[in-house]
Amino acid sequence: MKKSLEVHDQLRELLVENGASGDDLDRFDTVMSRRRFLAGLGGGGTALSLFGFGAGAEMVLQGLFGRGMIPAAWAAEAVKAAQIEGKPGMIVHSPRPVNGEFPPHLLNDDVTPTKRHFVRNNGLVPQRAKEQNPQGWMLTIDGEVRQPLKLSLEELMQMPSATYQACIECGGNGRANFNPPVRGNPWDRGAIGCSEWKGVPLRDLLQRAGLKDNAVYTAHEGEDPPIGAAPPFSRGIPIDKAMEAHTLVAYQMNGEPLHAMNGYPVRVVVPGWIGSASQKWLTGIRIRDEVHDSEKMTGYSYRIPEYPVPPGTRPPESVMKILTAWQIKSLITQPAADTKANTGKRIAVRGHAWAGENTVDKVLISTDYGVSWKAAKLTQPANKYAWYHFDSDVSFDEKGYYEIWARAFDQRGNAQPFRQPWNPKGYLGNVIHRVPVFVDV
Amino acid sequence: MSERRFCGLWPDRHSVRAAIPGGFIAVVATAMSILIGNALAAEPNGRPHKSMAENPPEVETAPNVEAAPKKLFETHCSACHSLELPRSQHLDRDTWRWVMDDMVNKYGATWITEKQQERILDYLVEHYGPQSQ
Repeated sequence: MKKSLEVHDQLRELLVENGASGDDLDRFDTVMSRRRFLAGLGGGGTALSLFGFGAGAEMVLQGLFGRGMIPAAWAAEAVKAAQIEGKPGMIVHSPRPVNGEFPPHLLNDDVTPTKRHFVRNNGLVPQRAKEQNPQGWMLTIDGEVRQPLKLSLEELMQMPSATYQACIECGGNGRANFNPPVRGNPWDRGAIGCSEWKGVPLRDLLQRAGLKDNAVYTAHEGEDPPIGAAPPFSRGIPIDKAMEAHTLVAYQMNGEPLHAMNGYPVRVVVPGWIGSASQKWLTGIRIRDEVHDSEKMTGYSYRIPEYPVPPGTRPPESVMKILTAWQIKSLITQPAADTKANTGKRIAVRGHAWAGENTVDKVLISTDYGVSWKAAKLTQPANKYAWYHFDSDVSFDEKGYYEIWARAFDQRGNAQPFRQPWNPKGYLGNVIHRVPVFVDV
Repeated sequence: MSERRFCGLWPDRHSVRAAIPGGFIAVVATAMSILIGNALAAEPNGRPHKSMAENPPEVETAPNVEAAPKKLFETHCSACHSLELPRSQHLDRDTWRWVMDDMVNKYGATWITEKQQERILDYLVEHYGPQSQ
C-alpha cells in the first residue's frame, strides 16, 4: 500500500513536470481514487513485472491509463484472456486492436459459424458490445434526407427484415502473399466469412427517411473508441450500393445477436465489397452530397492505384481510387495444408468460391502446378453474394510432394492470377490458393 | 483537412474525443518512458535522467546502450497498439518511414521526437526489414 502511494506521488510529479494540464491532473486523481478502475485487469501484472514494476505500480499505472489507455504490451494479456472469448483457434495478428483470422481448413462450413468469423478492428471494442447491453443504443439516419430517423434497437427490429448469407472479406485479405512485402496486418487467406445475417435492408431505412436528390454517398459511424489520437473509423458506400437489396443494417448473425467482436448490437453488411464498408457497432449513417472523405476513404487507406504500378513503388495520392467490390477468388478448405496421404487413396477436395459483384462460372483443380486441370463440382450459392461451394477429389500414384491448386473463374472469364499483382498496401489479394500435400506409399 | 472536416460532422464523437486529448497521451507516454527506467527514451544523448538517477524508482538498473533502440520502439509504439503488428512486418526503410509518418501525423504520436524516430527506424529496418524472418 505504501509502495503504491509512493509511485502515485512520483507519477503525479512526472505529469506536472511534463506539463499536464489541470484537467489531466484532475482526471489522474479521480482515477486514482476509484478502486473499481483497478479491478478486472487480470494478467497485466506479469508483463509489468517484466518492466521492473512492483505490484503497487501496476495499480497506479492501470488506473492512470484507464480504459483504452493501458499500454498495449500490458493490455495484451487481458485481451487474450477475456476479449477473444468465443473465437477458439483464431490466429491473432494483433491483440490491440484485435485482429485475427482462421486457417482455411477451419472455414470448411457452408455457412461460417460465428466462432470462426474473422475479426478486423481498427479501434477498441465498445463496452456495450462486451456487455451485450442494448440500453441507450440508437441509430441515427440523417444528412441529405427529408426526414431524419432515430431508432432504438427495438424499433429497428420491428421493421420488415431480410436474411441473407453474405461474404464479408477484409480488403487486406491475402496481403501476406504480396512481394515485396507491404505494410499492414499480415492476413493470409482467412479474413473472410460467409455467415447468415438478418437485418433491415438499408434501402428501407433510406426510403423511410426520404433521400434527397443530391444524395451521393453514405458515411457510417460506429461507437468503437479510436486508439491513440486516431480519428473515428468511418467509411461509406455510393447510394446505388446502399439501395441494393442485399445491403443490410444487421442485428443478427447466424440466428443470434451479433458477437461483440463482429459488431454488437448492429452493423452494416455490404456483401461482396471490402469489409471496411460493413461498419461494425453502427450508430449513425449520414447521407452526403459528395463522396465520403473520412481518413479511411482518402490517401492510401483502402485505395489502390488507378493503373498497375511497379512492385515496391508508391504512386502519388492523386492516382489512388477507392476500393469497392472484391474480385474472383476461391479457398481450399479441405484438405488442410501439409496433409499426409498415401498413394492410390482418394482425397476429397473442397472449398468455396466468390466473385464480388460477379458470379462464379467454374472452379478448376490441379495437382501438377497447373499443367493439367479438372473441373470441380460447383454448388450454387444460397443467394446473391453468398459462397459457391466446390467439391472434387484427387489421388496420387507416386510418393512425393504435391500441391493442390484451385482456380476460380467468373462469368466474364476473369480467373484468379498465378502471381499476386501488387499494390502499395496489399489490397484485393486473390492469387490462387495452393495446398501442400505429402504423399507416401 | 478532410479529417477535421469529418470530425465536424459528428459532434457527439467529437466531444467524447475531447475528453482524452492527444496531449494527455503524450504526457502519459513521456512519464512512462521515464518511469520504465529508460532515461534514454527521454534523453537522446543516452545519459540517465538526473533526478531519476539520484532517486531511482522501483525499476531495474538503467539498460545498456545497445538495448536503447529496442526499448524506444517498445515504449513508444506500445503506448497505443500491441507490438505484434510491427513485429510481423518485413519492410524497407522508405515503407517504415511511411508508417512512422502516419503514426506521428495521423494517429497522434506527436511526442516522439525526430531523433527518436530515426533511432526507432534504424531498429525496425535492422530487425524487421525485407530480409527478416
